[in-house]
Amino acid sequence: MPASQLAKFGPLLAIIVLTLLAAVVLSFSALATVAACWRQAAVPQLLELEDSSSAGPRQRFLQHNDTAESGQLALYALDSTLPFSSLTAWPLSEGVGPAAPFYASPQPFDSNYDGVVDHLFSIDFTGRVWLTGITAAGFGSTLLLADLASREWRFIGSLGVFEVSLPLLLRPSGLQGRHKLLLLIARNISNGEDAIVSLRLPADITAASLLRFDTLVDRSVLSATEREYGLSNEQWFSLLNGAGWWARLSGQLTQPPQVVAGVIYSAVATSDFSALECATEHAEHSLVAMHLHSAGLVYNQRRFLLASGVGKLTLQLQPDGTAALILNSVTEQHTALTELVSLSPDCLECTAPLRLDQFPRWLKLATYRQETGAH
Amino acid sequence: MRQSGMALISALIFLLVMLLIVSANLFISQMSIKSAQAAQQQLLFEQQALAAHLSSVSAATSDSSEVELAEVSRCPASYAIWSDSIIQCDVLTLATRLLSDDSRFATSYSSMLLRQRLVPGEVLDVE
Repeated sequence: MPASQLAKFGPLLAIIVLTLLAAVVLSFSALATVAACWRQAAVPQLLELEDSSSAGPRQRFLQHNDTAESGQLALYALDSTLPFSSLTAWPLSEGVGPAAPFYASPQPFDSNYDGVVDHLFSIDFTGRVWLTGITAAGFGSTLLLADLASREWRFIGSLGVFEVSLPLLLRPSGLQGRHKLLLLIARNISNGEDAIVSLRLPADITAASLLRFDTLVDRSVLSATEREYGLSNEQWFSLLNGAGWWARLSGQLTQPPQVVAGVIYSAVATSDFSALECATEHAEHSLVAMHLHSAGLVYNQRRFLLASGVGKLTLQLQPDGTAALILNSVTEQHTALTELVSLSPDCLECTAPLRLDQFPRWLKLATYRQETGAH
Repeated sequence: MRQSGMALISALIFLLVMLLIVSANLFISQMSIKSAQAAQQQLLFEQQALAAHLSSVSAATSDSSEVELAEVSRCPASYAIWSDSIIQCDVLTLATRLLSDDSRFATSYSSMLLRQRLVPGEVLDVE
């Protein structure tokens, strides 16, 4: 290229190169210094863990820390400031290596109902999910369950691990009656929008195959047929046979979503947010209610307008025994949704009014005769 | 004379044998009636004990009496799941024991009960 042409296009080239450089720096800085709403403070969790050296369980503090931008777990005795066990090397798709930072708190799980925690689900920023055995003596073996690495989503929170028992009518043939659900919160790195990701883990987790983001069903938009006639049996069975689903919330979560009687309720801000700025209470807000198992409709619509963004979503017992969701703050209360329903196992679309006056609810699990001195 | 004496003795022996057979039969039948009644009595007693147990189960679940023996860390698997922060589950064991009036029969029943309750402070009342 002649020097004269280079001089002619020089400023243009410089602008393009500088713009690209700025975009790269911006995207990296967005990840390096994320807004406060991306990450909650890493609060230590007090866990009851099995201790083989004593008769009862033993209490330990679990802390998830980031060291040199890689996630690690550490266990502390109650009277010590030094960890006695830490986990820094994680099994990856290829080999062993460091985890990305942990924005989501690890989820403790009691797999055998003995009252003590025996497993941890850890989720790193890029969407890798591990299952780790844990006792009072330290961390056990770790298994990589999912690698949800995606170009635009980062994983910033978890709603917990739920154990599901499917009624016979709603169970696809060949599927076990029980499985686990791991609900995660993902955030879009370009626009700051949130999504709920539901991972279905089989009852025998150790035999599970590695879950990928592209195997999840996108339930962000419901088809017109589904809106009118509901989910078909084929869609339901295919959803339950799959690895899980994910759904955009078309907004930024302003508080952790809650699962009430099989329905996920999420309060989101639908304006005035970006990847770098958190939504404020002055933005427009709405409430998203979706089916726990399918992300489908439970009410006649999934999205309801919220009058305010102030306050915590709280259940309220109505005088007639039914339930309502309100936004509760020190100064004011706004009703978000009344006549809440509970999923009913009788059919796919069945719901029943949620009655809070039935609590405490009792269920007789078994009655048995004690044989003493039999001969 | 001697022959009629023999006949009399034979008849007496025959009668004695018959008497023994009949009384043994009678004794056996009395015993079987008793054993049959005992089983029936035990069945009735166990039914009574079960009814008493079930009524105490319903009494325990209708009021908020504390019969707490065990607590689980999470709720069992279900279809309409709740967040752990809102609902709390406890497994309780209720045992009852009944002894018959004549102390011949004793039976005890136990029930495992699941109590689901809302975490205090997570549900508000209308003011």
